Amino acid sequence: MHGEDNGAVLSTGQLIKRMALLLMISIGIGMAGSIFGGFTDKQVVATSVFLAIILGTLFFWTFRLSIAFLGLTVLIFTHSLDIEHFVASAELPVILFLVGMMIVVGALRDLGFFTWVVQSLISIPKMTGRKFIAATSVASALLACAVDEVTSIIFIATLIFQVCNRLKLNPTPYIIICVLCTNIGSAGTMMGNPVGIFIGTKAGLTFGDFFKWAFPIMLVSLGSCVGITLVWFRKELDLFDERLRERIERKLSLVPTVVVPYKRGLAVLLFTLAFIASHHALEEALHLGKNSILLVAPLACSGIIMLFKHDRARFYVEHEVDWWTLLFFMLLFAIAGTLEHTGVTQLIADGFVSLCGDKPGILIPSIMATTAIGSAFVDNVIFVAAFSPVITALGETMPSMPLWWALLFGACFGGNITLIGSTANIVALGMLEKQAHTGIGFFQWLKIGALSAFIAMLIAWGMLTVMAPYMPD
Amino acid sequence: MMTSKEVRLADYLQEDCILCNVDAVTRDKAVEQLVGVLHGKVDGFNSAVAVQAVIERERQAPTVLAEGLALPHARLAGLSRPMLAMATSLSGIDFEAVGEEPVHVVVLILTPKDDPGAYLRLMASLSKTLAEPHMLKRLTVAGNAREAFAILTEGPEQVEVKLTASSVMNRNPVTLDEGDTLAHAIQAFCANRIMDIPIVDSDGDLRGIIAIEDLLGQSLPQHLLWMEDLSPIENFEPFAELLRKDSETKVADFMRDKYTAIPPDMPAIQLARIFLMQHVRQIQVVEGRRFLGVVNLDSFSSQIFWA
Repeated sequence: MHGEDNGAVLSTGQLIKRMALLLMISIGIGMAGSIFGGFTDKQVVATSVFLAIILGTLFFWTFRLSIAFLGLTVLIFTHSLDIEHFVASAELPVILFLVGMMIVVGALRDLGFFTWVVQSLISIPKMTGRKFIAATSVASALLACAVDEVTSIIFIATLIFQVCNRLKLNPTPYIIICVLCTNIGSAGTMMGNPVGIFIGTKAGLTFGDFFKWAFPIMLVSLGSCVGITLVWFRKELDLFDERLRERIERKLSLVPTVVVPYKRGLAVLLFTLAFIASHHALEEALHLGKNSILLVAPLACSGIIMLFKHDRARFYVEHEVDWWTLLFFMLLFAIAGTLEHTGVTQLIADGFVSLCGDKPGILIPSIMATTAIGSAFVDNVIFVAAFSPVITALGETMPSMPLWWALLFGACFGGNITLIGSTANIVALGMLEKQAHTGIGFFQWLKIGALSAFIAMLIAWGMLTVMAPYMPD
Repeated sequence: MMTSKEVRLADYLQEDCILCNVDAVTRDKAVEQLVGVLHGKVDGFNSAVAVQAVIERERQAPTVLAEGLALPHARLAGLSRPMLAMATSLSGIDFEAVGEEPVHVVVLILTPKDDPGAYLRLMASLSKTLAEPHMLKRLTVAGNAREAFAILTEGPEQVEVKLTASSVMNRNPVTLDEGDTLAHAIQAFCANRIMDIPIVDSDGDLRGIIAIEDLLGQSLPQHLLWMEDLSPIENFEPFAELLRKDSETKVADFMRDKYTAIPPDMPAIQLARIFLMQHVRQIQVVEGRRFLGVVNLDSFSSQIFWA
């Protein structure tokens, strides 16, 4: 996907070179579309701007928001997008859903919920290294399902660092295991990853749909990921076992544990999850539009939280909400929407069908593989935003639900392939460098990352193929 | 303002500002006599104010630097240029420094308030000159001012003084050994009321540092700090294990191996930048890996603003 400091450490000369390359490639491909694909002028502009955003995240990660702002300006100036369509495509409900969840997460931390989760993991009876890492990685995946992948990895990675610090171990292998599992877990619900809620909104999928169709696939894939990584890192886990045994024999704890009043935090989380889970039933009972309650449920919960914790309300909104990323998402959705309005995505959909046919048996792995490879290098939200209109177009002639799931699993599992494949990877890498003063090599990650992603996608493909006939049209 | 890098003691200490074998036996009396000698030679200071400033400074932090030597000083508003005066005493002067014997050589340094460099340069120059072998003994027994002045100025006429890290560092800070226990560290922190301690090995090489926050952090790790309200652990329960095992836990287990080490010849002004930019309280001065001393933010600041 990207490196956190990408672009920030460039000299002016390098910056100009990369910027020129970015413009040349994006405009060149847009023009090629005009010459060979018969693109209209608006389609050329929309394609070029979208490609500039993709390349911008690759070459200038720290400048991605400015590139998105400028891209939007170009679209408006060239009549490729008007304000009305911008507002319609910016997916404000999705953004507000994410704002609400971020505030809830801030309150959960304040209330000791994450402290309790961490302490519960440390307090596993008859602890061994393997047991600890297996439990932590599964917890990381489930936490990603309940809140989101980035929040999950921040808390879980902190635990890993603390434990490894006490045991004088290099945390790298254990961090890799947990990050891989977190990315898998993020496909389990619509809260796990921004692409989940985006796909849910675009496809009209409910929380129940995710729980029924995506969650079981995620669980089986998670099992495979845990199994593969435990075997892959068996030597490191042997060392972990040995150090842990020594420490326990010395009657020393891994980290101090205290009695944490977790019940309020747990209640907040369960209430939020229950509210989100019951959105479909409530919408039907109250005759409200599809997913309308889903999208406001986190806002309602965060509203209640801010009412009770009014002294922290401003802190939650100003510091817990990642406005930088959300603004980028908003513009990205709008720019991807322009691809749809100008008919570029219809052309891609037609091309996809002419290349892969219209049989779900071929389309599912094709979509999954394309999305996975794309997400390994480019922000998966960008890929999903660009691909979702293609799925919508494909869905006009065939059942679309299996294709949406293929898109979801490709985007989430594909994040495991490279160390820059997902935001969780980037965050964990940053923490590793800052706290353990160590890093991970690209190929060190690629070997186990690609293997675990490949197996997980095979499982998802197999299960989707079996489940597809039972899915609603 | 004193801007030259070369310091010539004779420019600041005149022969008639040296009092040999004074009859003063107390610090305050000796200071009064020295200020009295300087008064009238330099413009712009009131002797009563100067005496009070020097004595106040001594009360807060005695300036007995080496056995038998004191360098009382004050920075005075309105003083036109730096001045020195020296007194010697065969019988010794009680400088009221805890654990120190009476001093035999006292050099009073008066510098303009707005010239921190002058004080630092004179201190560095005097330290160099007075550190010569038998220098203090020879000055103590000098029969008159002319003889004492000759002894002081017998070396190179000008001493180049660069204000470097070594001019402002503490050469004898509290240190710990890698093999010391947590109990030693706790004792060192609390008894000396310090915040940072360098960890030095048996070869005198710097291995790491330990800060008071590291002790707190051992008992209150990150996952406990996520909670906004720590009142459920108001009895400091997480500290119990740490304290129970303080004789078994080695400082090497939780020292930091990342620290701010600088060479001794780094310009002193550069340290101000490091303190501000890196948000550290202590800078370690090393030559290669060999530990030479530390510069603490508080003493660095007081040398600039107050000393």
